[in-house]
Amino acid sequence: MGQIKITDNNKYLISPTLEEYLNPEYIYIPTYQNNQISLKKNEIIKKEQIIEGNNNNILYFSSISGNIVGFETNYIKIANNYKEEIGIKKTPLKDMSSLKPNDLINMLFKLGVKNENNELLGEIFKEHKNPKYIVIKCFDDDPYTENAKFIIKNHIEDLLFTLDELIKILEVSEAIILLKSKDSDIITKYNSILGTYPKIKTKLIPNLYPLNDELIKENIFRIKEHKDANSLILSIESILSIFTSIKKQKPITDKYVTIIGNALEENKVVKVKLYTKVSEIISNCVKLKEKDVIYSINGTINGKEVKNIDEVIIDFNIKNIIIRKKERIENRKCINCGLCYKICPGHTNPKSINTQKCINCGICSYVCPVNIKLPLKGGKL
Amino acid sequence: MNKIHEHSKIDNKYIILFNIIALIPLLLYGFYKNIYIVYKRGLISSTVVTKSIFCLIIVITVPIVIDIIYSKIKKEKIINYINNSYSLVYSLIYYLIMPPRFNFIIFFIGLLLTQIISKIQIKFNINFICLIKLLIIILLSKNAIYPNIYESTKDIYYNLFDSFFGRTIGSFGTTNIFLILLSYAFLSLTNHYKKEIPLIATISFFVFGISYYIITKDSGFKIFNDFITTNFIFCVVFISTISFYSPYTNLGKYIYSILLGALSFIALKFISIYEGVLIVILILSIIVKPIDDAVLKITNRQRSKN
Repeated sequence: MGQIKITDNNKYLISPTLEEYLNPEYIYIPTYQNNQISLKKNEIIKKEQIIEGNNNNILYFSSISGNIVGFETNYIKIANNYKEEIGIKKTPLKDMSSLKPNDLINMLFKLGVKNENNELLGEIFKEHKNPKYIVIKCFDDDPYTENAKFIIKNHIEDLLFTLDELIKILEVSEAIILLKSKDSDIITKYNSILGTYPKIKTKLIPNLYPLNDELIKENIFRIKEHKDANSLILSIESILSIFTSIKKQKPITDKYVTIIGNALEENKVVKVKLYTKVSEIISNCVKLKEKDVIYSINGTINGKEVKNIDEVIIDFNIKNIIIRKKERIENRKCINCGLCYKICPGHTNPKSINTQKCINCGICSYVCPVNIKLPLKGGKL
Repeated sequence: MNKIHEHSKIDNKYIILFNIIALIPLLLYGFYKNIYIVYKRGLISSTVVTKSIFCLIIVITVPIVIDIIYSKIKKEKIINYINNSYSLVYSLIYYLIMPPRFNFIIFFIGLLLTQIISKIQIKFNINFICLIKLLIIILLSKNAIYPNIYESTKDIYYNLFDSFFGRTIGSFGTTNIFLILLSYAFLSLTNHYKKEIPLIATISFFVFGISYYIITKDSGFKIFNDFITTNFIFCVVFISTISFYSPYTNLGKYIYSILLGALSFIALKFISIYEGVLIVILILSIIVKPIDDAVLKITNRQRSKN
């Protein structure tokens, strides 16, 4: 089996309008231990200024302009002056398609562009040199998250332009835009514009979960030769990041985040500045209808519980924030139904897990009829 | 534990409900065949009918009462506990596999034992429904009467077609093959039901049975008779698939089902057409865990080699 078809798509109805929270009071730039920081308290910071870099050249750019108000454990706190002052203004790249693959990789490294899993895009391009196909996921990994939908709605032409340029740079034979069959509004939008891009094709897949790179290949390629071919699979968010960083020559400073849960009056997608505190976004963007709530991030099915929401900062890898009403569920004895074992896409036994094979999709826990928190790392039931 | 993640709508309550719905047609048919028709023919009095209805009420209320007591002991919300308890399913299965004429006291003690053992049984993987039914049959000795009053007063010949639609001698609610197959199709709609077990067990039953008749050159080639007029189908569809007492690995399910089909044929042929399959399921339930463990060890070894 390996995947489940999500049928209750409308469980969390998300507001059709995008909310923006681009003027946070403070941002918190991560710092590394043993890293010497040359900045001082009260120093003026410009938007897009490099704040911090570690030994692996992972750079952090300020997403606002303001001044340093303090150095907290692992963070530099910057207060917003609401002026959006940019230090060095860069002109957009005129001819993106004239870049060589190595130039593209170097530029991605230079601007520290990361994907939604906090992996450097430069690293991913380096791993997939000379790909045969570029596959663009126009959906989020989590079945109830809709960041991708809003990115498409607002940037469809930029996205198709970037993809077309990437086809030329990497000399790829075909790019596939992968859409979920449930997203009919996006499909119509794409089809009306795609005619001008002959090398870009769309493919529909059912609303399955999980859909990692291997499972995507299984679903879209029928022939083994195509499955084994070097395919560069990127998210729509990564394409937008490439557009911003390569074409516009700007570092990434904002991000789409879905805020959902049964404790909210309205579920929504919010465009926020990187390094904003999640608690600040929550208090300014959403209304809670419950007092006793539980927070989790990055997945309605496999997310992590957050004990102290005040400690969570928006980084590249924050995709969604889930706010649930505090509900107790009884953890019962395993009924030996074998659903978790049958469905596991990593072909492992979630009841006595082999950690190397687990892809952390949480599907075992999702299907468990007695709500056992699976996978059980290292132990047996 | 606090709810952090989304869970599938198909939870324990849903599985239990599916099982109960699948058993209801058999229960109704059991009443129709063993009570209503017999009463219509004037072979039993209205007191016996009332007694039978009382018996059904007992079958439904005892598991609920025991669940309430147990939820108090466990300090859980009663409704949550009942929603997640298989007691009613076990109780209905227990009722359906009983002979149509039984001693009420022994039946009641058996029902209580079934419920209590289902609660306290933790480490022993033994199918207690089969165990208790077999103990009761031993206790009743010759008093376990399978033909109902109508069937025992007349010499009736049932052909295979009659038997397929339930007109045959057997336990209270296990005779109607047509309804059992419908219930099987209904249960197979869900992911939790181990549908491979009845299917492979049936194939194994036929393969083994036909081989037996060919090798022994038995003149009475009655494989369809063995299949339809016994409680084999009911037992493989409802009892052998109880998730606690059946394997969950694919290979484990295949091994279990093949053994179940083959051994059931032997048991039906040489032990009893009514209790043979139950004995086999009882024995196999003990080796379910070792089968799964062995399969997991083998597959893990193969995967690490790859």
